[in-house]
Amino acid sequence: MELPVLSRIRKMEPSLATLLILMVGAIAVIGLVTAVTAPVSDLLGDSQWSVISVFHGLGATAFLLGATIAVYLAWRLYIGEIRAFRDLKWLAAFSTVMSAVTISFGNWIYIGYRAPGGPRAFFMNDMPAIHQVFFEFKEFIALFTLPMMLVGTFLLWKYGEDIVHDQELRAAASLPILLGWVYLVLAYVLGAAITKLAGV
Amino acid sequence: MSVATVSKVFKEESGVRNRLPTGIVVAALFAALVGLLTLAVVNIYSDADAGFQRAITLNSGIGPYSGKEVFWLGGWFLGWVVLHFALRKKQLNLRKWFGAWLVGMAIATLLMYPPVFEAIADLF
Repeated sequence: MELPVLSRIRKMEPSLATLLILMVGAIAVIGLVTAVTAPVSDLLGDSQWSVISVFHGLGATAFLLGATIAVYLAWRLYIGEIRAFRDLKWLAAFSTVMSAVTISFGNWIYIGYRAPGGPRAFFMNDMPAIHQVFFEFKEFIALFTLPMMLVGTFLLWKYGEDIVHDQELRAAASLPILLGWVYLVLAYVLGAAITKLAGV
Repeated sequence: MSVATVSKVFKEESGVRNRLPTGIVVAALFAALVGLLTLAVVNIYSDADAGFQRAITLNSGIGPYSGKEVFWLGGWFLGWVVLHFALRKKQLNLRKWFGAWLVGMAIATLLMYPPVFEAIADLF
């Protein structure tokens, strides 16, 4: 006897199923870590920004997972070998939404970063280059992800599967997604490194 | 590729472009670029002029970053509306315009790198 949910996952396009399984796996790992480190405040810290910071980090991670699969499919589109076109459309849309969500939480937590006694004050005092070069570059380059993902998504949905037969249209729809992913990885790595040095 | 296959591919390419001209693609790409270049210019000007920096501080918590984002989003979406209506019925050379867009994106990225935008701001 097969469970209906398994049958449904099997019928899904492979990339969407992969994303779903990745998300469920990530939530399970986070849930397990949260459970074994209970109370939750021990894991998140006691800062007033802890919950916002978690949403920002989790949003960025979900964005990274979805965008990485989208980039693989965008590459398949670019070389004219894509089969799961529908997956690419949905993953690009998912990446756009996650970009907007992550930027929104990033704006919110930026208030904590700039607050007196916050990480910015610490960096300006002890390691000014971290704020003046790496953080400032991160805060701007993260914004680049939204237009790149939205342009890719717009073209994929507007032109539909007909785009597959046109080499130049394929490049125009797929390369912004690749660029958006590069900007995302830059912002993600810089963000993680800066958080290791001084969190909010 | 056989003559029949080439002919089929050509018809399919022409079909999608007849239905949706390439001006729509160029408008979407360049609107994003206009928004990012607006952000870069506003950021440089804000670095060079303390009065402008105060003027674009729309939220004290986020600081001048709030005004920079408003300019970015405004430039992007306003640019998209204008470019879309100006180009939506035009068939443009996608290869040429896409190349120009990539060069523009490289410039926008460079302008956001602090040592570069600070050096430019110091000129004023």
